[in-house]
Amino acid sequence: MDLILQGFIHAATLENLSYCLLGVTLGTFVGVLPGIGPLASISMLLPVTFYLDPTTALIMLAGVYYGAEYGGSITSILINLPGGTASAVTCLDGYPLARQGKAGVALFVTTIASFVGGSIGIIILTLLTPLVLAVGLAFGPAEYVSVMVLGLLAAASISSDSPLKGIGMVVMGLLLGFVGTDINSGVMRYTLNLSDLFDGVSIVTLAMGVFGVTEIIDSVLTPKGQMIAGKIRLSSMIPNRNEVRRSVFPTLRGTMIGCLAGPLPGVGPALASFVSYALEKRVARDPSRFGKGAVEGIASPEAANNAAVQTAFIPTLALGVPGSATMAVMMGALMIHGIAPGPNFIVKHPDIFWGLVASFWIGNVMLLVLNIPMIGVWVRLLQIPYRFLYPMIVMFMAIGAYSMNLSVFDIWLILAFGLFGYGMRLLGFPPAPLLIAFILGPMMEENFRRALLLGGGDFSIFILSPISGCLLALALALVVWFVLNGLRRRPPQEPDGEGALSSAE
Amino acid sequence: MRMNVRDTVGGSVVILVSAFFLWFSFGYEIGTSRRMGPGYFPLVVSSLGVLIGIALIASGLRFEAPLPRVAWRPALTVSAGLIAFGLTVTSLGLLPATVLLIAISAVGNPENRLGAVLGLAVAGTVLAWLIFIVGLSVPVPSFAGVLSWI
Repeated sequence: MDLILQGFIHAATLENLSYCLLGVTLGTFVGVLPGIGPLASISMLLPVTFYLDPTTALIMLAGVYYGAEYGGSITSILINLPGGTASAVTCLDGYPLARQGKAGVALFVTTIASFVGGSIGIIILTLLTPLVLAVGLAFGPAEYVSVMVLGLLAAASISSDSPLKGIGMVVMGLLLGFVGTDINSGVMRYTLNLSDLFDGVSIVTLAMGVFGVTEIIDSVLTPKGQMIAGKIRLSSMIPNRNEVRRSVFPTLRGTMIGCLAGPLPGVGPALASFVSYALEKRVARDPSRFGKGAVEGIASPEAANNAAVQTAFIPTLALGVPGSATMAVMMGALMIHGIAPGPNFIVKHPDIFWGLVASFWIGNVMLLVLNIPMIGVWVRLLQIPYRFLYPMIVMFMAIGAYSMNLSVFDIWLILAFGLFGYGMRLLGFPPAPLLIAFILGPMMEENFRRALLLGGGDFSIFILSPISGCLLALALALVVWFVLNGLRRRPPQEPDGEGALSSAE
Repeated sequence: MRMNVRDTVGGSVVILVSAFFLWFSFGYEIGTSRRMGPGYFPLVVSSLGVLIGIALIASGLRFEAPLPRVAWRPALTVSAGLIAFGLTVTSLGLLPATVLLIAISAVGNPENRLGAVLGLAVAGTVLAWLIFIVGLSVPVPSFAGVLSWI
């Protein structure tokens, strides 16, 4: 309790409050705009965080992440286009509601559901992180390797249409992580004698490339949706008693699913929202109402994705094992400041952790204000065509990346990763596992080396240690399940379908 | 002959990248599993990569999947914009490079006509100047080389 209070004191400085506000505002902004997700924007902001204190930097970046989940629903409801992948399912009932003239009610319900989901998610985060941390502190190098193997396999397979493609991306991410000076021996690996590569590939260029540039190339030509006309007034937002009654339990059920899904690697907010929508449809007395404007169908997914966004921080902060690409970039931000993630992070930097948790509360309250009284601003923003926006985004990425090291080489890297990422997306390869593996690679190598050193070069150490053995057994079970599932695999539907996208955020 | 172009191409990319890393890993000391050299882990991972690439191609042979459509125009213009920026940012300065970057990448959407392209370039460059030079005071000259008299 004392720690939480200190966290609030730490988070409530003027500087942290303004960066929190900046983060959630920017998050809502990119959430509202289709064609740019939280991940691309967080990687665009990474160069800026050089100038900030690490707590402030994390507060801002996290604000972008959860702010985007609020913003995404506005776009889904008003123009039937998902602002982000996690809000895609909100289109199904949100847009019909808007067409019935109930856009205001829909926006109000999703905002409140998001707030409830987010708040309960933060409580779970606060309660569960110390427990996970206790487990993490008991981990030795062998356990670490196993938990990373499990995490990478899960992240690679769950949200992609073909687990092999995800695993292929994991391998390439690990390989990219080798580039640079080997910390153990001091040998330059894969630098091709280019001095720009001596420090390795920076997470900023990789993330900007495979998420920023790729996303832009992919969305420049997508047609704009039709906006539901009409002004939204505060009075038109208040739901009637029946609508309130029908959204209470879906919100709580969605929150529960979100809290379960968030910490799991590879699951994340997008899948949480899909699952909770399916659940609502199943438990409903009259499932035929879904797709025609059922309030349950928007309350539950929005609660789920916001709860998942908050609980996703549990494994990232307590173990240093990110479950999604966004979390991986967030860890990259910590590493830029020389802070090594892992169980020792919270022990050594309790101020950053509790400050961040406190900022989540503050940020969620700010989002409530941003999304209800100020909804008109976002509706107007939706009218800016993407063809005006994307050149600006390219500009931010190029200058942002260049300003980090004043190195033109970084521009070439962004371009190369962008084209690579676009090509791989066309072939149905998900980008998220690449980034997660890239971040985990060096840690995995280090722990792998240490585990074998302790085990005297005998690989059985990974199986004989009970925790590690269990984790690997789980990983094996996952692989067997893929193989069985893969044999029955249908051909993937469309090249640019959900498979490649859903793991993006 | 049924052909799965997507998985064949994708699998080949995985194999090529892994083979490149595998080839170089022999150039570093491999060591033993007890005392791993810098080449050990890359060797393990890249060998795995080659196997996964092969498995990808093999498992894809069961059905057809044609190459998807490529958005050539945005891909080319955004690339050209970034290349122009990279080539000019040190020789001409940040602001001219930004003008080129925005103007060239804006052509990626055919609906952006000349007026829109120029308008975006000017507005974007002013924005860039305000944020990066005035706001963050990034140590990059606004104009350099032949333009340094400005």
